[in-house]
Amino acid sequence: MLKFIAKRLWHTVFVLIGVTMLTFLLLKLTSGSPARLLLSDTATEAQVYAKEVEMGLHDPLYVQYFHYIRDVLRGDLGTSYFFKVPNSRLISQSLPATGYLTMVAMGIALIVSIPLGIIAGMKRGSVTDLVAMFFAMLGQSISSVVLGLLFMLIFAVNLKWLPSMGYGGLAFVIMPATSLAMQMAALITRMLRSGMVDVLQEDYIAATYAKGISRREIVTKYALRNAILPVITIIGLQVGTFLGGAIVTEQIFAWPGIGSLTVQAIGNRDFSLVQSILLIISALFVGINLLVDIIYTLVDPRMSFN
Amino acid sequence: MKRILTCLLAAVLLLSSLGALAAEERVFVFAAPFKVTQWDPQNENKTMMYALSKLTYNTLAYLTPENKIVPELATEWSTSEDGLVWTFKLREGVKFHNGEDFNADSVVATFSRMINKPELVQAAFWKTLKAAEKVSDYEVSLVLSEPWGAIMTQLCDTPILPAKALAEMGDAFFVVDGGHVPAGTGPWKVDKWLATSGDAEFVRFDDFWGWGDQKTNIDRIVYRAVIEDTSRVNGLQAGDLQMIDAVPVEEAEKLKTEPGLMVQDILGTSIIHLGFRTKPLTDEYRVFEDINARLAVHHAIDRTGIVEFIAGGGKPAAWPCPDTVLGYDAEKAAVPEWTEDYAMAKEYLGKTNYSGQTIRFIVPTGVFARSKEVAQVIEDNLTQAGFKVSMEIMENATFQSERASGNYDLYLQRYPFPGGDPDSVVTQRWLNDAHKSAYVNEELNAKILEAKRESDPVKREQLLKEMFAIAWAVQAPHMAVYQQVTTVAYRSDVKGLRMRADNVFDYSHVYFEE
Repeated sequence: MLKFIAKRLWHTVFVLIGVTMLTFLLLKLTSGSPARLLLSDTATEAQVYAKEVEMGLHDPLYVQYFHYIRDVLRGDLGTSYFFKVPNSRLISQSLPATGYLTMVAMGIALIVSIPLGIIAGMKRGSVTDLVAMFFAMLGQSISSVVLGLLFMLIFAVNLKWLPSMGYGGLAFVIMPATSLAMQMAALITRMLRSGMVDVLQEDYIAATYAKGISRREIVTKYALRNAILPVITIIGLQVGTFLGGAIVTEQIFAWPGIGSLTVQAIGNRDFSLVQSILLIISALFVGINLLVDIIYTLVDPRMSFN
Repeated sequence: MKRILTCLLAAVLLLSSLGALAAEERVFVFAAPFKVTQWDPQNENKTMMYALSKLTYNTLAYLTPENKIVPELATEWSTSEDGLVWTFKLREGVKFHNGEDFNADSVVATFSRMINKPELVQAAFWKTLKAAEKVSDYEVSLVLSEPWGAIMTQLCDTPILPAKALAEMGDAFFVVDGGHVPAGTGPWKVDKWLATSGDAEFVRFDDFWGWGDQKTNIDRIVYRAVIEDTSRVNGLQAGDLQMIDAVPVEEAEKLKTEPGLMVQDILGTSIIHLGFRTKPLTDEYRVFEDINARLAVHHAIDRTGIVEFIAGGGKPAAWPCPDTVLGYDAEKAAVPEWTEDYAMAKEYLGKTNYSGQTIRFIVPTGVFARSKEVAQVIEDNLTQAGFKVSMEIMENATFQSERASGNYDLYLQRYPFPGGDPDSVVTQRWLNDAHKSAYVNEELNAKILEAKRESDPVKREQLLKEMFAIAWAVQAPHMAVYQQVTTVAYRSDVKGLRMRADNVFDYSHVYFEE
């Protein structure tokens, strides 16, 4: 297993180098100068040029990239042009907020979807199944934006049970997390249901019934372990996506996460901040996928680290 | 045992009473679609930062909502006969939040920084300032290279900084970090800043020199950066926010019917305008070099329709500046020499050499409300008048670069006239051709400079009217489309707001009505 992890980490290095190169080149291709945005819009061309030189934007591309990589290797993610504080500080402020939102959203999605998916799969064609599928269709059809605003209107404006926006404890996270979780829950419910339906028709399940094993044990021990495999992959991918920023949800609930920071940094052409965010997010994404692979192997003994 | 229980009970009571006291902290929360990204007031030209600066800092003079300039940190001022030296007597007994005394050194340090660092955004306004000289501990002189009629208006938005702290820390003075906050002499101290959300918190500075008998009953002001329009409205209705700026058009009417809320439309000093590229970059033909082409646009645009049906309010422009700006000629603007008439627009276009070349019309996103929709109407108006238009809506960063490179025929943009004085707009945008319009009009230039150098307010106003009359006749380099309206909404028990027409609101004396 350690060899497997080491090998994956070695691959990760190349992934991250690729990410830094791609991000760097894409940002350089984007029109718009950060110097022009930093200065007044009445600044002269000479002032803009001087600022760009000061920011190192007129160095050859490979020099700029080399400086960036050298600083990253030294553990220095640079300083934001606009905030004038270290990028690492901005990321370490916003990442926990996004992580918190992601974890709660994922928790809600799993609590709702796993029992619903199992029951729907077991009772295919029943009223419970229809209700679960209706819920899944609804969850996948309604965008998290609409849902978020709807929640806000009901629970904050009308009932005044929850704060309408901001970052804080459970009362603050419940609405953004639920609106974010709904599509995820719907997706998992559908996948798990279809997985359960397929697995329950397998011969080995019939054999377990024949052996007189209890229905509960069949479902949890034999059927679910197979049906849940694709769900684990989806969860891993989705957590990575959420960590990359639930941009719209963060914007609606004024949640100070990494998504809104990224949007702002791109708008400001704050190149070093965008690069740093993407580097960290990519590393996290790769890390989560590695974790998913490990979990996958633990759940399914047929999978091997080799 | 009994003693321990008594002590425990006392501790519980004490803690609960402390909790109750803490809970009683009165907090004013307001929100706008703007994130606070940095704290250097000399390196900022965003309206909301001007407003937040008024919480923490004071200026030598203060511009009231009625456009009157009254003393603040300067108690009186005078100017030399040639208008080159302005002398200010300073208020004594004023302290910065960090305990430093306010005196002539503070004023000298503030203005010297802008002279020594011309790259600062605010330094662009102070190009005529040659030196800031200490006369005595409480008297200071500003020496100009040429007379400047708008100096007092500009002073009203130039926060005074503490000399010692600035000398010791340099630019680090403006960084909110590890317990350090930038200190001013204003009524509110910066308390917290969350860079990633753009939110900021301020606590009342009880030793503020200017409270008098008007000390607010609010302990803390919280500024929330809420970008999403609907979220701001919901936040106000839910009671989480007490005031919101930039109320979206579609929500304003709904909020007006809500009990306990005040909704106010402010016809401000901002003009939405079209900018023309009047000279070819190369040998390529540029239609707007011809005044007839500009007049064709002038007659084609449905200003009234835009204001009534698209922009959600405002006033169709009948003069290059809004009615809240010095130099507005009410008489001439009352009888606009134009009509919205496609036939007339076509007639003017017929007088040009235009033969169907594509007009590149660039529009930035997120600069003002409904910019895309307004641009679409203008595109349609121009097409009806016979122009072939290619409209490109782009991110502001891209827009700025395109405009600066002169790669456009027409653009749509907004600018405010800060402090209700046109000086900064006309000297930085028209005179110096900062927007690469390539438009040169010596008569207009001469009038701009004449007005700039005139210190007598009455004579200056007349000169500004004449200057605007020239610009209106030639419709260049910019063509005013409409005066923008800003809508704010707040709880009806919120009092003490000082709302300037240029949208620089002063929240420093806000209080809750008992």
